[in-house]
Amino acid sequence: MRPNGLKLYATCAALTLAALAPVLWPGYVLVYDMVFTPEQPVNAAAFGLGDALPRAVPVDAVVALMTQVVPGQLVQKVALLAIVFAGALGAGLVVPTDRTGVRIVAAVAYSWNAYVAERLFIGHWTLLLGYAALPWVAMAGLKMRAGEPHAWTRLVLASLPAVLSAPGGILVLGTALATAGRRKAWQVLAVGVVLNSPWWVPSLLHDGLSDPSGAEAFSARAENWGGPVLSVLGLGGIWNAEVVPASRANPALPVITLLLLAAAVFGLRELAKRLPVWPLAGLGAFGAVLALIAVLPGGVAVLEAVIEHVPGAGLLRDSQKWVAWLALPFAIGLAVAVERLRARLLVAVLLLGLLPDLAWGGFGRLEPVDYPADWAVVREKLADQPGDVAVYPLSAFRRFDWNDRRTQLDPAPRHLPGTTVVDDSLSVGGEVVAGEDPRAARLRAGDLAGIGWVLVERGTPGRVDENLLARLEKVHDGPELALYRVPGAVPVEPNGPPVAPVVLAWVAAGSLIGTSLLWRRLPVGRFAAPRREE
Amino acid sequence: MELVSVLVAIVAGAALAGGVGAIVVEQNHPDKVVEQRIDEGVKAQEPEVLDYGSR
Repeated sequence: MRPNGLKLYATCAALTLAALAPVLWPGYVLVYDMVFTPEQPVNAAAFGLGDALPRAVPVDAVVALMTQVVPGQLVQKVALLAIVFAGALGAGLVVPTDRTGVRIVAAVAYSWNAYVAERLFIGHWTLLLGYAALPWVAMAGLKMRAGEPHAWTRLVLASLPAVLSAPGGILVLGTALATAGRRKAWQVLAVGVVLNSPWWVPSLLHDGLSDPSGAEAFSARAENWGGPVLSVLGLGGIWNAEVVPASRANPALPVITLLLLAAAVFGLRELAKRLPVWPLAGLGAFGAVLALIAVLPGGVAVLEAVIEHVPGAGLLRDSQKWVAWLALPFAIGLAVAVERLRARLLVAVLLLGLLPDLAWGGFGRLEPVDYPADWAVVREKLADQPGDVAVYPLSAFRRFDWNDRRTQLDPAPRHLPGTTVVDDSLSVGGEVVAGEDPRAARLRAGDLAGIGWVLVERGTPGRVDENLLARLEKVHDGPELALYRVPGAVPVEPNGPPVAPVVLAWVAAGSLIGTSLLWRRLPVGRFAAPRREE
Repeated sequence: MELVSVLVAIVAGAALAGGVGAIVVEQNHPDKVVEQRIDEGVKAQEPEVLDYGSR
């Protein structure tokens, strides 16, 4: 069944503009973990070969390469708009119906909810790209289950935005497994393992262990009297109260959440006659349990033990993100539940009304700003200069006047050429969660070994040791930034993972993507017998 | 089905009112001025390490 008319596409475009219109203004949206710069450096760390745990791999490499060709702000705007538009459209297209209104309800339910709002406001754009890919991956998985030719190539291409980050890659793998069915599980697993290899290979080659003390700090949070369980079941409940829309305190919300969930379950029962949706619903329930694990009795202790001893288990720390798996069965179930209602579009209005403060970029939360000229000056001075840069004050986050004092990740590693060392420990409500970069730990101890330059960012909280600066040679003194050369600096050898397996992982993932594209275009793919897919 | 549609309309209206109400209350509650003063005080003595966020 095809979507009828342009109404669905127009609705998705309208939703996108309603949520993100301010993002279109010139400049960069810099909030919490979201950092874009005019031209991100192509360096070893971006490919997972740095000293620190590769948390932003492969997205840093992809953005770095893209910003060599197009300005970073354009990449950011396209990525953010794609999150809402593609997510909404995909959810609308998944529903097997002839009624556009039903598709619109699914589109609104999937793209206009607490999960999207909270993760946008905390700047988790790569996670949201994975979220937006889920409906498309589900469609590819269902085609694989049906034995359609070339369906695996669809799965590869639909997964691409998601595998930019580790959580996104895991989200699509789960969805693909749930939709493709047991008979195709090995094919799906093989695709998932290869496509995700650019992040999991370097992660395994590091020790991959995270500080378990963040398990409780990053656990799901109650947003209203419904407690964390109903907050999470309503697709919210992120740990950070600062990014939660005020409307999540709506006293009617817990009751409405239960009503909507009941309607979605009713709709899934109806939908099960047309689509194999129960595995997807089961995955959604699993995602909700995972999201709530740290608030269940004994959950924190279990989580801390797992994070302390299992490499990569740090992914479970901010576990609310896994409720993303619930969003798709909820959206399509709700849509089918209202299929016979004459006033079904009112349900879409209800969903919009429940979260009015996602509109207009959260009314000031997502507002582009320009980098002060000092940043370009320092970048110019450091171009083609040997030596790594240490950034002070020692803090992962910044709050500048030129960005309306929004909390934002330090932009230096993505703005300056070469390798930049920043403090990667996190403070949550005063509790410090240790970082993973050994060079950052040495900086905290006052050791400048291997550091050729020191950058001091001004106008942000934190102190800088004046005795340290007195030993250095000042080469730039601007209103926002000061740059110092470290006399007699001796470069240190990179201490990242071995290059060969990481390169092999990139080649494997690239080859699979290239083969999928060619398979869809070349005669060998187009005329291949369907049997080959089975 | 007509009854259900009417009920949906009522719930939608109530939800919208609740959502907007929650925002209005959050923006205007009596402690807001006090909070702003506390924020200004916090800004004047901001910590050495910025919080990623708070619960």
